[in-house]
Amino acid sequence: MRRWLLLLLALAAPVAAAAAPNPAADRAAFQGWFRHLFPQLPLAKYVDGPYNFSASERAQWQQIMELPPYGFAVDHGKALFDARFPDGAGYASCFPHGGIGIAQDYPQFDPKTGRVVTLPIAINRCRVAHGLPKLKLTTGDLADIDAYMVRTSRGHKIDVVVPDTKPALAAYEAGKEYFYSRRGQLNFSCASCHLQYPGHRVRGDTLAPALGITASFPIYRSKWGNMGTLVRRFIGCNKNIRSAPDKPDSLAYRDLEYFLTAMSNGLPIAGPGARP
Amino acid sequence: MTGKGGCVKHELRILALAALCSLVPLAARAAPTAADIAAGRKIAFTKTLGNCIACHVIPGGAQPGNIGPNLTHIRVLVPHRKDAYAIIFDEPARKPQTPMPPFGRNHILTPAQIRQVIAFLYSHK
Amino acid sequence: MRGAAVVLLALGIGFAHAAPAPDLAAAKVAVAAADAAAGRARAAGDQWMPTLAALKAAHVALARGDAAAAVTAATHARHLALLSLRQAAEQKRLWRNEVPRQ
Ligand code: HEC
Ligand code: HEC
Repeated sequence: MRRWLLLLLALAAPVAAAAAPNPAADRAAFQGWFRHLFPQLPLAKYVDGPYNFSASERAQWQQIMELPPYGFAVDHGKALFDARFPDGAGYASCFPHGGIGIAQDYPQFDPKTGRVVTLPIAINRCRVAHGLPKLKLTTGDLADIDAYMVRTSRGHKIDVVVPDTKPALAAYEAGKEYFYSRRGQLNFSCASCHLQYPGHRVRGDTLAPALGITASFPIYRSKWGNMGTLVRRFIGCNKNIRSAPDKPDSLAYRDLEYFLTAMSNGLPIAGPGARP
Repeated sequence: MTGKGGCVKHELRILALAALCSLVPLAARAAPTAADIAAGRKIAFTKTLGNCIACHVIPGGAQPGNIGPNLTHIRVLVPHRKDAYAIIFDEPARKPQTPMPPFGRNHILTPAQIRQVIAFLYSHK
Repeated sequence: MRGAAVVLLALGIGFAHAAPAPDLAAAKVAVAAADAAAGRARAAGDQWMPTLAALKAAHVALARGDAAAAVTAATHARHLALLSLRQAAEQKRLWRNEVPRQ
């Protein structure tokens, strides 16, 4: 009898684990995990990523921020944003509130295409709608436009919506599975580093916690010497674990960004950012 | 899924057998030489090789990470080299949640390279 | 000691004899098998960069007519692809263990 009960329990457990996707419950557990790890750290501070854990890096950062290295990108991004397309329209026409102060609402799930749309992808969609070619999603002009739009959203609380529909929940769940699945020859998941070991050092780098990890993007990274979007960082982290990166506009990266940003709902947008 | 997985397993077994044949000459293994230790040091400190320094403090290595235990006193932590071999070959087999990569299982290092790293680590008294 | 060395030498020669130098047709088969395995790894969403590097080396060797090098690189690429496929299959189940619970 008891053995039967145990068997039943064993069978029931995985079913419970694979229960219907529930982003709100996931977020509570996700944020709870970090609160448990760092009870002293206020939620809003997570957006500073690695700087919460290294006094020397933090001091350097504060010095750098007296003349932010992304300043040029924001100015250039604004100029691009304000310029007219050949058809007379502009980026503002493609977004609610004229594109100002809206970065916290991205990524979004588009029910028409059944795909997640990140802010950089939305910028490209706007271009295509007005007969212009897409821009590179990782760096360059698009990262600058992204930087400007994010700059106008600073302090706004991240508010990613996962509609209670089958396709939206499937995209969310795919991003979640991506984040927790080990891959690459080195056998890491994103969680192995950014969830299990936040604040620890990998060689000279201090690991940013997964909570708030999207909030400062795009970033000016000294190692790159220019701006980069979130997918540029995904590609870098994938390569580091010897996993062939996905395409910048791949469903895999869209879904990953959707899940990861949704876990940080309630935290303030802090981008653009500066990183070593 | 299961069918496919089983197939992968079978194909892997054949490959593993072939690899074993090429390992036969290693039966005549000798005590580690200074060259082994030097090679092991390079493996431990090089990103494209073992990159152990990314997570472990190891004597002589600059900018160590702090994800894994300090390996300065590995002789105390892991008294038997054959246990160290198993850990480096496939630590997730022992501890599924570990971040330490399965260096042998995933062909990140060859068995000879793993022995060189061990020779280097145990050269610290 | 010398005896052991002779035996080992014999074993080594025996092994070399057991595997005759591959011809180009055999190399093509090996490279195709590696391509197929890498394709499956990509479809499973877990392609390793070293798999792609070995695959490229196999194709380069094949193009220059070096059958032996092509077979060696292709076998390596296929092995890595199969390992990544096993990893992907295992992760379908194991990834949930890494999710924090309340
Ligand atoms: C082997 C450990 C490791 C793994 C696995 C890993 N990363 Fe990273 N990641 C780093 C390091 C090191 C940095 C640079 C230091 C930092 O900011 O955390 C970084 C930085 C980042 C950043 C920028 C953080 C910031 O505040 O600047 C993001 C975003 C990120 N990683 C996302 C991911 C995602 C998504 C994955 C999974 C595809 C992943 N990482 C896998 C080590 C890792
Ligand atoms: C991504 C981080 C990481 C890397 C890279 C890494 N390790 Fe580890 N290692 C760990 C962790 C964490 C542990 C602690 C035990 C565990 O989690 O399984 C560990 C444990 C060990 C132990 C056992 C120590 C004990 O007290 O039981 C040895 C030996 C070891 N590692 C050797 C190495 C060697 C040699 C390399 C390089 C070839 C290496 N490690 C690379 C993270 C790492």
